[in-house]
Amino acid sequence: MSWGTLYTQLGGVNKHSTSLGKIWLSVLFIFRVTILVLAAESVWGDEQSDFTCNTQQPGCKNVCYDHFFPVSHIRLWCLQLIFVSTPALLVAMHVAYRKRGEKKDIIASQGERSKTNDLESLKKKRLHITGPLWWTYTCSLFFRLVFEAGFMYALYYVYNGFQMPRLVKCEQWPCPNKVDCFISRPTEKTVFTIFMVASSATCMVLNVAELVYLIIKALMRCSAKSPARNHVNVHSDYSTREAYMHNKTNEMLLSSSSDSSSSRAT
Amino acid sequence: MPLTPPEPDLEPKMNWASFYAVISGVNRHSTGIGRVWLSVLFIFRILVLVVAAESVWGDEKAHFTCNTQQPGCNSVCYDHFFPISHIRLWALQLIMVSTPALLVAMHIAHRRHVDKRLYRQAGRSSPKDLEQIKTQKMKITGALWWTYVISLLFRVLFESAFMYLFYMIYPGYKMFRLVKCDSYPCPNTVDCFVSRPTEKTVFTVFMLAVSAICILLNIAEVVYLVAQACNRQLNNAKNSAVGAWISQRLCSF
Repeated sequence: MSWGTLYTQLGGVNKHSTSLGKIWLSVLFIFRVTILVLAAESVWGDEQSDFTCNTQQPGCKNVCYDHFFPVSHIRLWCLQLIFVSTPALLVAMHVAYRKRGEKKDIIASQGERSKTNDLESLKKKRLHITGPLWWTYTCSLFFRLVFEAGFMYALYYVYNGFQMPRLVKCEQWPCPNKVDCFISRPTEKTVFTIFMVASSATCMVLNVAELVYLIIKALMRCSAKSPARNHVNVHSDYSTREAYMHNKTNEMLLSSSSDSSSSRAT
Repeated sequence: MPLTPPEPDLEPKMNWASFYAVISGVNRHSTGIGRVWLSVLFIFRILVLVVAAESVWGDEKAHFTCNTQQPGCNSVCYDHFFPISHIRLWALQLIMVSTPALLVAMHIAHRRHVDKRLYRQAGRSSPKDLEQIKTQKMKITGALWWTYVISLLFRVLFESAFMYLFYMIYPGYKMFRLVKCDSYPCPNTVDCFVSRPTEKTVFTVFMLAVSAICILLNIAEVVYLVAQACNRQLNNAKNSAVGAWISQRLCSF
């Protein structure tokens, strides 16, 4: 499983995410994918070969393993990470579609005189999360939450909780009566399961926080827009505020350049 | 016996190289002690873990043998005496200890973003200026100082927590040759033998010692940063006093 390619795909979307989205991506890749790769090979590697049953009956071990482990934890977590990362591609597609539209506009307005500079800056431009893009982003967050919760519930349901028992009693055919079967490394598996579940929960909390943040930002934008339509004075206030911001920026830059020149002199 | 060609390694292995690349990105903005810490981390811990320790612990379960034919006794006794393997503990420790550096990386990225916005507003948006922002080394002052110190404190906290956890799970550093096990389904008490105990003891002592060195380096870095900040404050206070005196004298003319 090439997690590197997944990372490059998601990294592209990262540019247009909010700060919480960027933190989510780091948590996802550092804690979950790294731990999964670490644990997969060494802890779950021998799960079937070291699953032993207290019987000589051929086929009993296979049948009991299949009964108690319908889908391995590792495969469930891989699927979960893939599904959870996929909604980000919705956002990537929307951003690409918007940029294509803007590119067409530039070429249409300037024709043959369309400079490469303009097209390059369009490629690197970071889009604000407003309008239809806001809806796409919010839907992608919602789907992420649904997939995370769904997979956590599936893990809980298939394995009756997050703890791995040492001993399971199996009475599938062809095992004679009831047979004791022993799972390999149950404590280590429980530790990693709890770790992955905790990381999943953290990611869900980050997604909910991001959703709340986007909704609040949208509501604030709506409330800022509606009074401005009625009052003309607000527009002049806004332009004076802009001028004030420009003055402040110039002041800061001038003071920083004079500071550096004085420090160079001393 | 015919030689078979080596099978391609299809299992996903932990990519410490890319992990190192991410962490060393922060290196440029660290202090000198921070760079020493990163080298110690990579050379003495990650490299030793990958090259040596993993082969020593590789056959820990396969060669853990108990003096019984009872099926399941091996598994159960292994699980009782090794709830979590040393290798996994160390790998988790390395990951958790390296993570606070990302706090610093995020803060630096945020600062760069703000600088870029200011430059654009001031009209200096040429590619050369934007490149300059990217390659500029940030001074550890102001809010970045606090982020850096907090990340160092978290590092010390995680290192100590893992060392304590290690002590709780495996009291003492020595690995025994023989352990006596009486968990179900083992009949009565059964002798179980650990594979490569001496080699494991050597590596355990080595990793614990390097952990302790890393904690000391982190504490030294915190002390250095605090001393540097106090020095800066004193200099500022002195300069402002001198500046006020000079301007007073000039005004009197």
